[in-house]
Amino acid sequence: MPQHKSTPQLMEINLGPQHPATHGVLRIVLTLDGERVVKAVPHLGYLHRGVEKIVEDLEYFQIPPILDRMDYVANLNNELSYVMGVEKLAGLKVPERAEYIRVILLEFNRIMSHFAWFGPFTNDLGLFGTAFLYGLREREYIQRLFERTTGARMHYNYFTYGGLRHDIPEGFVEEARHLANRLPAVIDEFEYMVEENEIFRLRTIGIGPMDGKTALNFGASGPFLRASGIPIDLRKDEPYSVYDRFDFKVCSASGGDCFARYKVRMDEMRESVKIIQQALDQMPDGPVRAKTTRHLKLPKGEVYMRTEHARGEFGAYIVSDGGVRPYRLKLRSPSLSNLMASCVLLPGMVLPDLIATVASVDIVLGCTDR
Amino acid sequence: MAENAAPGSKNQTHLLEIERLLKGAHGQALVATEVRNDELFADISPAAVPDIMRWLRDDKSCRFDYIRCLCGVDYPDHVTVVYHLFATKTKSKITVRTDVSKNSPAVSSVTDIWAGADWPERETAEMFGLVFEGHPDPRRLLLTDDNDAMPLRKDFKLDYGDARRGVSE
Repeated sequence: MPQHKSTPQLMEINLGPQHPATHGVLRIVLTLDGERVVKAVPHLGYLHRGVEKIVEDLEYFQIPPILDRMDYVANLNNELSYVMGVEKLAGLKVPERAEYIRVILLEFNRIMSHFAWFGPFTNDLGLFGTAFLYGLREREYIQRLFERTTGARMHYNYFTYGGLRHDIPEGFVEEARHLANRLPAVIDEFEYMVEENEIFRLRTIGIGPMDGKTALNFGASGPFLRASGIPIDLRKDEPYSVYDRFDFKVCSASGGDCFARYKVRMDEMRESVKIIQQALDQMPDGPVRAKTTRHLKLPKGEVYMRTEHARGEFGAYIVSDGGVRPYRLKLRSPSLSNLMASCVLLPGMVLPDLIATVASVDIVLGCTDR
Repeated sequence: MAENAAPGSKNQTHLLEIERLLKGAHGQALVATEVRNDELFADISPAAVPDIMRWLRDDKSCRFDYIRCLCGVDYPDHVTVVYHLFATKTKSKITVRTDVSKNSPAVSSVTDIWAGADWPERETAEMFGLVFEGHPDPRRLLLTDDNDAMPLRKDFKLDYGDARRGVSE
């Protein structure tokens, strides 16, 4: 037989932008040597709507609905940074009750977001169906509470500078308490479902590891950074709202791999439940909105407000020229930084590991592209 | 609510110390500095960006090892590039601003100091028509390759068509 000299046969393929495993419209141009990834070049911008330009034409009270449409899985978290930035510049004091309701909804929102991550993540690993539906089912219960409270299922538009748009409905506290009490068992069930599963373990443990120093250098944040052993959580480090009144711990893991990222999110949800329970206990009565005007004029100045979003640090940099519209509103997206960090991990992986790694980062393309 | 911003607080003393060191090391490149609440603001000349940024990361009293946000702001005669830095050990914050002239819209890239500046610099470059010199991969990030507009400059006006008919200005 003639001897063939083997030369690597490289193939270029598109992963996305319409591919279920890219969680939106991320396109990665892959150069493959068989199953092995030689080069991975991400292309963004398929969901770019020019949010930062559009808001320059809007008044301050008109902006929260646009922010809802950025990270559409953890919307209230988006609204918060901006709303708190406006409050800081305007010197508005938010009523206590509003702060507590905000915290309760934000933590529920974080849990919802992690559920919406957990389901599709297991799908990407090849555990089709069951865990996916469990994740979305549990999210649905919380979503009903949100629907009753805000009137919307996705784009809530509930936070506004000075507090909330309206008070919580009757029976909110009981329903929230019921949900919160139920959640630890649900999280246990999820863990029980996947953690001893051989496919899940093989496809997450040791896959896509990132060390803390690199993650920090890339500006990663949130569960992605904490899974690399760096316990930075803005709720603890630079407490905002009333987070300094609650007893909770910052969850981190040391592995930096897909399993660590999964574990951090699971632990974090338990802490969120603790925060919700404490907030429900301490919530005072009173107004939910400070007295403000609709056509608010902010004094000349700038503020960078950051909060701990479900995916990491969400920042809103507001530059005001003294008018009723922001001169510039820069939105710092945690998904963007985390995706950028994860992209250095991709070359050298086999293709299925790439899917697992990108999924474990938990990106929302509406937020990266803005 | 919870703001560790009281004058004379530990955080603010530390920031005043950094301000003093910064003036000592790079006094001639500083346009202005200010400590307000729990944050330090420094306006620097664009030519000094690589030196000052490296100093801010490496000096043992600063150690700003995390870049939170990098963006541009358009003004009539210049574009201000704003860097929000964070020190994970001391929890200090600094905002560095530099005014880049529109006639020669170039400023040094800081990607070799913080890898996290990579995509934000690409985005700022395409949105404001800036050049980040020394950037390893200066492609567009969000816009299409044939789009030469600089959308976040103020002279770029949005065309709403009929969508805003009846909306008062």
